[in-house]
Amino acid sequence: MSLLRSSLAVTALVLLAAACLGGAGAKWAFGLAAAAFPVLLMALGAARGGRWSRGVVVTLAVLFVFLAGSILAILALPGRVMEAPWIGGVPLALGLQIVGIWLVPLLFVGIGYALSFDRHGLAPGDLERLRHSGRLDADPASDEDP
Amino acid sequence: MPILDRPATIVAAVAYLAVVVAIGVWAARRTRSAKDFFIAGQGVGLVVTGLATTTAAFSGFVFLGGPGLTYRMGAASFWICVSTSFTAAMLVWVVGKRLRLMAAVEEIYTVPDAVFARYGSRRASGLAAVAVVVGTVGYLGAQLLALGILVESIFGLRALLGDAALPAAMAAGLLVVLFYATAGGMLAGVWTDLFQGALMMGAAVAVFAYALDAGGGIGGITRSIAASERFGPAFLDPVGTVPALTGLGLFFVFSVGTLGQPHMLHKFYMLDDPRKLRWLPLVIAVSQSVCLLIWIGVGLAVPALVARGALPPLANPDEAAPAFLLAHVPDALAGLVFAGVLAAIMSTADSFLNVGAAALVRDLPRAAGRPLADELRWGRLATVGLGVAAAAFAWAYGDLIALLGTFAFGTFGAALAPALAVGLNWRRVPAAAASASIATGLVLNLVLEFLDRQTFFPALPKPPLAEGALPTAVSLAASFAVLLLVTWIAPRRRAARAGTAASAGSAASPAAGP
Repeated sequence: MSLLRSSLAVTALVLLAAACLGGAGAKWAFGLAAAAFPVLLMALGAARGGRWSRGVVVTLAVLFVFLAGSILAILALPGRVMEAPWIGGVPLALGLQIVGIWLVPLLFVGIGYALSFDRHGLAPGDLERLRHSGRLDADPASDEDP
Repeated sequence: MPILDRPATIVAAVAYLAVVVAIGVWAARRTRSAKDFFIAGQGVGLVVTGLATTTAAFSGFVFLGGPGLTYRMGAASFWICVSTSFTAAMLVWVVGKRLRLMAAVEEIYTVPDAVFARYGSRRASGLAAVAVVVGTVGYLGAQLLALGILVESIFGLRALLGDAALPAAMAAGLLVVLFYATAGGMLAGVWTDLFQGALMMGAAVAVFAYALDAGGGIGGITRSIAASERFGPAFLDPVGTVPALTGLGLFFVFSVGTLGQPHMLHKFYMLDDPRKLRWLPLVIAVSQSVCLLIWIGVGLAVPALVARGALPPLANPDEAAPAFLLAHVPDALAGLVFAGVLAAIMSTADSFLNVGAAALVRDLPRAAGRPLADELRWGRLATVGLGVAAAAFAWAYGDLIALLGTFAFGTFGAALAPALAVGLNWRRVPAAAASASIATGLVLNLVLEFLDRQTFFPALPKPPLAEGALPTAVSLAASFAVLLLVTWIAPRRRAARAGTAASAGSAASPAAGP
């Protein structure tokens, strides 16, 4: 968890530096950080007792690959819309944006979340235990601070 | 052809308003407590919660501003749309589950309530309430202005009233929104959201089909755009018409910033059973994506039609959707879509009236240690006051709908997202870090946006940002960095959340806070 929180802080600082300083590498750094940041936040929220189920890890890893891969590929393509291949009637960069960032993650993220809900979300009985105890720190999904 | 000469269009719009009024009357009879008013009695099911979240998030910006934005900046505008693939799951994963669980053991109606319950700090809760009120006035103002413009167009008021048409249209729209918002509160809001959400989804699918047909299929549309001098191939490039940092900044703000949108977070309190969170992300993501078809379909079809000479070039890009609907869609469907857009604007306005009223009559008085005795009555009065104030604010700023909307989204995201997203998942985050983060997000966003857009004081410098960088993106990243860094710097101690639900700072017991 410490590594995850450190990564969040570093990613936020990378976003800040890229947006404030600019330069040749700014768009690459910002693009990679913009793809990583929501995935890191999701990992933080999906932790249960400081750990993640295999389903969560696979879902988030695939999401990051699609987001980062599509963004970096789009950044590598600008200015060559007509020269790059067209797929399904649209230029490759637009196709990557629509399919790689939107449609494919739309399907597997929601389904991956639902299928692993008992392990990262609420297991049967969790809510009753929470209501019975009346304590917020009895939240079974909360992390343990190291 | 003037819309007044299209009876089917008028009938659809009037029928919509009649249904909304009927729902308001029905919901008012079922609203008996503050819990009913603010969180729909915490008895709403999966589909209604999902559609209510979608309709609260999708406003006139999506249905009117979206195609207009695409007409202006091409595929770069789609960076706002594409993050909907994962933002719903992110919302539930990061904050939705915890907010709903907290609502199961505490009296939590609002985001500042949750901030207070988590941190036990009146300062943090009060700052969150201020951020909610500031963002609400901007967002609500943008919605009311868009509502006025739409009502003016649908009923052709300009021909009848001249310059008085827009304020008259805004006043008429505001009255309808106020009626069901004050009569039924959130109970009316969620049931109208169900009706509106279904209407929006059906209309989006139908319009998308007409857009593809009018443009000659997706291949015909893209070839026409790429071959035209006016638009050209860069129009189809996600980073072709704007600096890369602008497009990527939109992606960052409209994905991560979603975690701080109170009108969406508010919906999690209403779900009748937290176990239904399992399928909520899929319901929200699918319904949002279906609604976005109208943005992408019309946004690409109109430039293609303009490129071919089938539509005249638009003087104002925001005319893209109305121009397409009036020229290429049957009258009855156009009426349905206009009603759907009206629905989107009104549901978002209603959500903000509710959220803003709750901040004013619950959160700020409790943060000040002086809770109000009759929150239901004061809530209704605050709803009216906020609506009138936002309408006046919007009227004073005239044509700045996009400015107001972006400013409000950025304010919510930068001020509230870090304290909720990280704070609800890491006990070590202290109240001081939450307060510092909320203040940083709120103030930095206000200052950077003002410096970036103001023209009143030429001597003031532009914000020191790279070309194309969005002030809102910088504010959002900065507030996250401040929260994390202050947490590491601050001395370790158990947070207030470790106490019992009551002593941890129940919103019903403000004196319990430190």
